[in-house]
Amino acid sequence: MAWILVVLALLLPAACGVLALRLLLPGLHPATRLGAGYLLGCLVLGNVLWLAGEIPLAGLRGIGLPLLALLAAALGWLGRARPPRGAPVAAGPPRERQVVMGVLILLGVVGVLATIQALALPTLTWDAWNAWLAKPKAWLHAGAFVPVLPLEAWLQQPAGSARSTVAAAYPEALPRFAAWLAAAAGSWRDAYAHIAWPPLWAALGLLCYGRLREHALAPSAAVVAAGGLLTLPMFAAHASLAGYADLWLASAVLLAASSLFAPAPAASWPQRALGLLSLLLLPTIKLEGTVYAAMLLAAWALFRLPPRWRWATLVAGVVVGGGLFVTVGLWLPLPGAGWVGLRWGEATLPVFGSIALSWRPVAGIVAESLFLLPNWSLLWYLAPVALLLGWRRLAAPRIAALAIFLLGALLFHGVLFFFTPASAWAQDLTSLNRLLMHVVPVWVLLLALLLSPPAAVRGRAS
Amino acid sequence: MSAAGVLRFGLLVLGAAVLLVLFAGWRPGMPWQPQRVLEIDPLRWQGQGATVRRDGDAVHVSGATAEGASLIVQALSAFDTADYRYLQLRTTGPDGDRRGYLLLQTESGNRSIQLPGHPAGALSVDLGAQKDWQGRVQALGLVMQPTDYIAGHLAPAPHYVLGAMRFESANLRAALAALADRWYAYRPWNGRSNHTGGFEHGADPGPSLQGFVAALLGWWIVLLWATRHPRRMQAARAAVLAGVAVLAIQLGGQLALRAAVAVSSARLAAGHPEWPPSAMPAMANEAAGLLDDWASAPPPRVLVWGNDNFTREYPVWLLRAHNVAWLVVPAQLSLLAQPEPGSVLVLGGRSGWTYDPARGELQLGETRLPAQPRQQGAWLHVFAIGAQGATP
Repeated sequence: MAWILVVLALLLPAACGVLALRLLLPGLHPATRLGAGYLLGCLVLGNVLWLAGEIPLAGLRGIGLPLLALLAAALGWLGRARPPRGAPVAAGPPRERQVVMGVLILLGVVGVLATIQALALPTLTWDAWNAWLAKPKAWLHAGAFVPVLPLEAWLQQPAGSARSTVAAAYPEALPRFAAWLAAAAGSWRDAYAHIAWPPLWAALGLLCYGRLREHALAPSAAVVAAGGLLTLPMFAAHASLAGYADLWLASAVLLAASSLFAPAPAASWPQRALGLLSLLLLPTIKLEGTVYAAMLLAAWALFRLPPRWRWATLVAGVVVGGGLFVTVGLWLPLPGAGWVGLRWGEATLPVFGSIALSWRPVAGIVAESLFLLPNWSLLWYLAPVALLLGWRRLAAPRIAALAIFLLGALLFHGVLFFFTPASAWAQDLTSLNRLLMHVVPVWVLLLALLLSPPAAVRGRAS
Repeated sequence: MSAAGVLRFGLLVLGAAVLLVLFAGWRPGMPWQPQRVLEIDPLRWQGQGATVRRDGDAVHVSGATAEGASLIVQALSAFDTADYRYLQLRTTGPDGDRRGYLLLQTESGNRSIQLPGHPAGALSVDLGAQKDWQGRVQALGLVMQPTDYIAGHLAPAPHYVLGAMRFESANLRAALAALADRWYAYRPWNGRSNHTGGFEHGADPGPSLQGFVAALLGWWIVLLWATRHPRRMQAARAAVLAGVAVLAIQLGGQLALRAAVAVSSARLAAGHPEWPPSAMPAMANEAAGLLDDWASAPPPRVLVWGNDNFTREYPVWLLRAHNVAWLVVPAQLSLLAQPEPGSVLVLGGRSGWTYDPARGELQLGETRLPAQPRQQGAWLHVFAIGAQGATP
């Protein structure tokens, strides 16, 4: 019975997400709708629970599950008159069908194996038990979403009025959603929280596939790209070893980027609204989400400018920003955290204070991690080749916007790992791959668009 | 197939062979067969916590210690590790969820080397790539033990047959076999596997399958262009797809082995709530005991400290059912002005602290505080902390 309730607690918000997208964005490819719907359903519910504050968990199952069932029914009823308008999948030549079948079989096997592990293994990896699942487990046993405080504050609180974790300041959308799943069962088991990760892995693949199909890629090319993404060892590891937030953030970044820069036939105000909603969700998943949201927003603002202004603004932005950086310093807002100050040789961060910006010799370990250790399959070998082969297509505004976002992310990661004390996290491999992971789905989207047959992209690039 | 096609294919095969040999660590002068071989005498194995029965040249090993380890040892005429580079081992029978270790007794201490993959079958290990393969070996051991996720005693006692075991000097045949074992043998998850896709194994540099596939693809693409293949772009795409598939299949194989171990561990732990699967079963068992003890009268506040990150932080996860937190440094105890009656301090591990029973005082680094011992385990030590708090 407990497992049935947990599965319902997982499926109902996902169904609400899928049905809401069918209602509001009937032009989405069905795969996009499934992938994005799952992601949005889980994250929006997590945020609603976060906004609800210190509510008890006891009544959550009794009230929440019927409410979500009603909402799903209402959304289904409202959307009944709008049959999905996704393009029918044309049966390609036999060789294409064989490729699609082969990739799907491989993904099916990997998905089953990841699910088995997510459900059979205990919470095994460090940040899962120390950060992301610590809050939900504490809340479950406290019986309510009690405040979670840093140690110093917790020590000065009356016993029992709060809980403490090392990651007290981390966003709570994901921990609240994990608590919701366990609350549906009425008790804590690691597997109740883990269950959300393997479907998220599948949702990421569906989202990637659906978005590429919306860009008119052939089914075989889209499924190969999505399969390549899902079989990157980093992504398979995060689906199997549930409990980290990186897979969620990576999926949400892809949803935001692919919505903001959707191809012309699909671009519409609901699509842009979906992009902006995804942007808003990013900081509620992980703190780094704020940085990606700011970069996506900047790329989108640039993309919305008239073409004659676009490149001039970009160049002016780089010149002015660079000039301020090397002279008086550059101050950027980090919503929810404060202001980040950047000056030649120095950065000022809200939590860490002033840190020296100087070159750190981590190039060797970074290269080893990207090219030799089996973290990324052939991705970083293929990326420069694809950029070279498809450089003409980078001029298409939507593709250029994706590339500018990735350039910004590259700059962010580069400065972080090569110029700040965070280089230690590259040296010991704790964060390097996980931060890259956040933007890898967008890399796969970009590379697939660059390598796709020209006709598929050119016609929709304006 | 056209002449150009035959040439292209021949050069591809030749390139693959050259790359394999290079990735296997070939150096000029390395022979195909070993010049020195040290056969390990199967009749001299002795069991420690395991029973050894000899059957011709094979050794049947059964049983294990209370911790689930099945250990056999033998003393031998000392040999220099510099004379040998590869271990060749053949076993049948040990369960797939056991891991094997080669133990070495040398003049400078005992060392252990984890064997790659499932210990069943034929195995080649490049010992020369291991930092612990050094010195003069005086005695050998071989231990099979259960996975990390479950308590050793939950696993059924192993039974396996140890066939041939020998050390070989550097030779290409063993190098290629060791390369294959390294690329495709089982690698268990660990607590850091989300950071690197589960393959990192610390600073364990070895020949990279990624690098090999990328190099071979590069060679193939050069051949396509050099021989003016009529559909070279299409052929290059297909080759990339094949390369990605090779790596995806390697991933699938790893996931299959890991899933099998996960299921086996969960099955063995089922019905033993006092021994839950965890990152450290022995500590989890003690934590389960504390949770039982505290069920009727939960301590209002549980503080945890340990002298290293794991013993400081992991007990908090295990004791999350209570109002628990870990101290970064013991001096933070001074922030707790008045511990509530019944509050406890849990110390993980045995290092970094001392207790003076005569004075009823606990010392953690520079911090002293009145405390009374409540439970003492191998990993978790519980003290009731005094009403007056810590005195830094």
